[in-house]
Amino acid sequence: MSDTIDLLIKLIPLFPLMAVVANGVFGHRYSHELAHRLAWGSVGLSFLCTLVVFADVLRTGASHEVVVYRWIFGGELTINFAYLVDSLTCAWLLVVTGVGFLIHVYSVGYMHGEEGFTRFFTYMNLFMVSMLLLVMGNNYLVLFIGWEGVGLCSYLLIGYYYDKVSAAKAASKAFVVNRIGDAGFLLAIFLVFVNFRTLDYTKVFAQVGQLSPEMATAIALCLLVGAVGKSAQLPLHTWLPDAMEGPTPVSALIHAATMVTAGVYMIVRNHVIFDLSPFAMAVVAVVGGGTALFAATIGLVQTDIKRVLAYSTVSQLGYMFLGCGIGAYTASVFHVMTHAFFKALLFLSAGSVIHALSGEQDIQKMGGLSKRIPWTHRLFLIGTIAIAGLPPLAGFWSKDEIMAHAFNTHHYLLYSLAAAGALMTSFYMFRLTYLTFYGSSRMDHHTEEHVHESPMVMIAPLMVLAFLSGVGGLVLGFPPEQGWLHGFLAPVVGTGVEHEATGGMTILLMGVAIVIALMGWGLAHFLYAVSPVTADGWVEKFSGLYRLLLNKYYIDEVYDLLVVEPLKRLGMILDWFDRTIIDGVVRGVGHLADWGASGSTWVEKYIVYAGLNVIGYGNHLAAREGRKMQSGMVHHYAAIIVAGLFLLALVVQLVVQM
Amino acid sequence: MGEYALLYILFAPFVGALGLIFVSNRQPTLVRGIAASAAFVSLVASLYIFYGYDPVQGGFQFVQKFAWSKELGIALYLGVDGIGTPLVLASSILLFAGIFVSWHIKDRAKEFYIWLLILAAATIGVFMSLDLFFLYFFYEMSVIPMYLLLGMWGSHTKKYLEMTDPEGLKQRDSVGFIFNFGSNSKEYAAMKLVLFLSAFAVAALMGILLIYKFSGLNTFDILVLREQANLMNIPVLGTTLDKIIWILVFFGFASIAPIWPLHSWSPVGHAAAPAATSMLHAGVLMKLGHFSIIRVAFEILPETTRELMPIAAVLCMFSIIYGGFVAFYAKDTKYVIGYSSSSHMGYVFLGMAALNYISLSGAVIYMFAHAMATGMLFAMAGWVYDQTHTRDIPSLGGLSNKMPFISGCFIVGCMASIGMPGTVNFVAEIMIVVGSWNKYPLQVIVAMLGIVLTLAYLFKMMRGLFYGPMNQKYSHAHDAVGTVDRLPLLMMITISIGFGIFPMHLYEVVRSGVDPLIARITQVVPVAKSDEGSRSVKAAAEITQPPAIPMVSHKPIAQVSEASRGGQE
Repeated sequence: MSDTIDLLIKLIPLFPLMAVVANGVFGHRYSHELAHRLAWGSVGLSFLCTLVVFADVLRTGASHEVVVYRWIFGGELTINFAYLVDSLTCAWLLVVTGVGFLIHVYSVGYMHGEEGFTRFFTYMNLFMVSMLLLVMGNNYLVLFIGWEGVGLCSYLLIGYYYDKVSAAKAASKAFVVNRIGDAGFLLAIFLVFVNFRTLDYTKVFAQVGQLSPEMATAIALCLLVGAVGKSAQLPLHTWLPDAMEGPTPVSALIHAATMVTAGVYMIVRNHVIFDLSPFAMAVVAVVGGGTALFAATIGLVQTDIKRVLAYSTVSQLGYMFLGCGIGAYTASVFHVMTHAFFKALLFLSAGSVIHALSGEQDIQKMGGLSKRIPWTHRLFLIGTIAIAGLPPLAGFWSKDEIMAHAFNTHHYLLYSLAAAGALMTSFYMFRLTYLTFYGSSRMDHHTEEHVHESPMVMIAPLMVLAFLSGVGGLVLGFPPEQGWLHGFLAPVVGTGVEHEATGGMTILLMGVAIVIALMGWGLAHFLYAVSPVTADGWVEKFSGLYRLLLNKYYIDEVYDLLVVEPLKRLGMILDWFDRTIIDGVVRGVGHLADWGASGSTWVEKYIVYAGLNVIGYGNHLAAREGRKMQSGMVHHYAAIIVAGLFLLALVVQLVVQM
Repeated sequence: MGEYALLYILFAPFVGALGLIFVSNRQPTLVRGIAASAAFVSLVASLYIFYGYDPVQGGFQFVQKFAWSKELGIALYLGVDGIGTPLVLASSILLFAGIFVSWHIKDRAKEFYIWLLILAAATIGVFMSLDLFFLYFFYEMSVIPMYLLLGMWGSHTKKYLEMTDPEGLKQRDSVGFIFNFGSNSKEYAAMKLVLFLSAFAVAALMGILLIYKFSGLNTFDILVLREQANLMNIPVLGTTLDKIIWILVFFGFASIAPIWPLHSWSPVGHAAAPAATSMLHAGVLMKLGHFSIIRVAFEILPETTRELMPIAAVLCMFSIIYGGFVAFYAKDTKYVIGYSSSSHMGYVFLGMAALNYISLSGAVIYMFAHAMATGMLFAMAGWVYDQTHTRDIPSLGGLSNKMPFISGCFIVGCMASIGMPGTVNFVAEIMIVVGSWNKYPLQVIVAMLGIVLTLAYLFKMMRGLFYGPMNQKYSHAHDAVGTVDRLPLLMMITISIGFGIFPMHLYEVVRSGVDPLIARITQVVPVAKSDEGSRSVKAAAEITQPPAIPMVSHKPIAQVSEASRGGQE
């Protein structure tokens, strides 16, 4: 049995990998039909394997460690390519393969007729492989492989429409910002290695008690830097809204449901290290709470349907970080799962809207769509209610659990941040719904003519997601703090921080949460259904604040000014330095050689040559005189020969005598 | 056949070059055929030695020795160890790929291939020489073909072309023209490269001759010298002599590596060179520097190395950051890749400077990995240049549409260059930083910022070339479609990813070369290679005694750093 499970675990990432190879290498030879069948089929098979593995983990409560092969092995550096599947991994596996499968099916309809259809599915499957490695790895390096792999696929898919300059820029930005986080993550990996001489989770976590508190803080903070980059938290959040340049299924899969939650996964996986450092935990909580509110404020005024959802994602990820920071790991994982359901639902419904409107994304040019695309409208509404936090839909249970935990552990400031964020979330989501689906149409004539409901292949996955958004919260996490998920994750994350919450308090906090959500709804209803004039009036009245929010606090501009421009300047200066100083030295040496050469030429000319010339001149003179001997007269020659012979005889005589 | 493998690798290109002399340029197929088959023989033999090299036995294998001058103690003494083997393989891969990359060369193809083959053969010669004389001989020999390859088949920079078009000619008399004209031409690049490298080679030669003279052994044999030469005990100059020699050897060879600030020949040289030459140049010629330092300075002067290697640790930071920033600013594709190469060579120096098993192995693997990555990038930059006749990034764009294959490969090349997991560069990078962390944490942090920087400029270039709207001027540009055009790229990609996923053999081979060397330098014995058995014993020990986990392999690193710290004082 165990062998079978091990085999299935190995197969989970292998199916999409095979589809990548097939579509990547031979994709141009066969039809789009076969390409997409391979793509979603492989993910479906992974999902089935996941279900079997999940059933086994659920039944036995055991974790599986599977070594695929020896990667680097020898001496003090030993790293295996190995998987670890425990309940935490299972939770993510179910989301990744399950939601991933639905999004793949949806993409068949959404991407129909696009240029590069096969390329799209190749990248999507490659993303699945990387994401699976990320959550299944048994050591930091396999995690890192997946970590970088999802970043790469995110880059490729954001830049899918490569002839759009904005898409190309957004893709590069996403990758570079992520890489800044990854530098921190890598640093954390080194610190782990130098402290433990191994990178395997089990060995590291077993020895974690040896860490000094300072070192634990250092490692935890470096890990956090990585997580902040990947999960788009403050201050590295700027890439995620821009990432909406990619096709909508990509936004749903990568930038809402799976990849961006990798940071949460990493923190929960390493919670043993975080638990050692109260300081790092506090930083995590503050980053999360701050981001939750901050991103929500920006979401209030954005007008691009996908950007609103993007800021909402950043904000919701903030709640997950907040949960991690106050030790409510299970609640965070719970929120990851419910968020995956309703945010995927929202993105895909938004995709359906965009599909219906021939690519229009500006909500100021929508309105009144509820009758034209009724199914999309109903599904989007379910998603909105779920995220706004109204019971009994999924978002309520998970968000409330995090907030209640914050309150019960006396983090009142964090609680109020989260509560303010929740109010805004409810408001901007209903604002989005009102502007998109209700009121009068603001579409241009051409777009309006072509409005059509999406095909069944797109609607069906949405229905499944809507169902999950509806009941997911109750199934996974009811009753609060003692739900099924808590029992399931307990072997990995423990039971969490104990707190003395009475039943009455729990009910009270729930009531407050419901009131907050209803207030947001009410406000949105008032401003966008009852009295739109008031909304415009407020924009006038608070125009400074409005512009600040609309321009996202000018953070991109500030980064440009403080980071990008100085870097360019530095590059320019160093380039100048290289050309002028370093090259100048080289040329100077060249000139020295030149002067040396001219110097030696002078010596050559006036001393060496002169000397030679003197000799030459003497020679010349001698020759001029000697020439006279060659007169051409025979008797002269005869006389010379005789004289020569005489001389010769004289010399010989002398030599012999000596 | 086996024992002569090195001779095949070394002499096949020479024989090919010799054969090409007797062929006419009017038979281009025959010319390419001869060149390709010579390279192929070399490649096959290199693969044979790479997989035939026995890492368990270690040491120098496939040894061949032919006495040349008994009086002077010179012999053609060839052999490879774990450090030379992967570099020989890299050279012959790049030679083979380079021949296919320059398949369409029209202008005096025969002469081009002759010089390319000689260049590669000389490079390979350095990697397998166990005799200082021949090491230097091959080293110098590799520089000369560069001159001709750059000067005759190279390309001018954009500035030069602007200056020589009719508009530019009007300003011929301006001061700027006179100052810049020369420095932007390929002839200038060729001249600068050869003079610069030769000048520093002379320094290295002086070092070598001092070793020869003062060792008193009357031999150039590296193996004899490393066992017996004790230059520190020479009465006349005392302990300074070995430092002088070390400095001469180090900077002499480091100029080709190129270490900052001796890099100024390199970007110009890369930019002017034709694609295949850039590939060989950045791919393996630069590694001659590191390799020669390892072979001469590390082997013969281990103690001085321990004392003076911090120099490299300091300079490598400048290399990494400085090269990265200039590459970020550069607007010429080949300048970007050229500066990126000199930046990346800083990582090798870092790995070498830390002087321990992991980091030095990482440095050697990095040399191999970088050869593949930079080879790909230069090959593709060459392809784009051939199609568009420009290397100016701002004027290009949107080529993804016209050349999907090339742009796909370019992504892989960039990924390999930044050390993406799954490529062999990642394995190397992680080993360098992990190994260096204890001794040079600052440098490691700099190196990691360097990775971010690398990413920034490579992606900027990538975006400039392949994304965005296409310049209609280049609508005639076409993709690499045929086998001949795709083969070199696919080959390098396969190797890069293949060794990234299965680095085990490469790692074992490299370790077998690095271990004895580091042991000699630091006088610390490496941790016995643990096999399955001992590992499970270790694991068992860990399970039974959790509190007393003694961090089994922590010790040697600590000792290494202690030993070297001791050396510094």
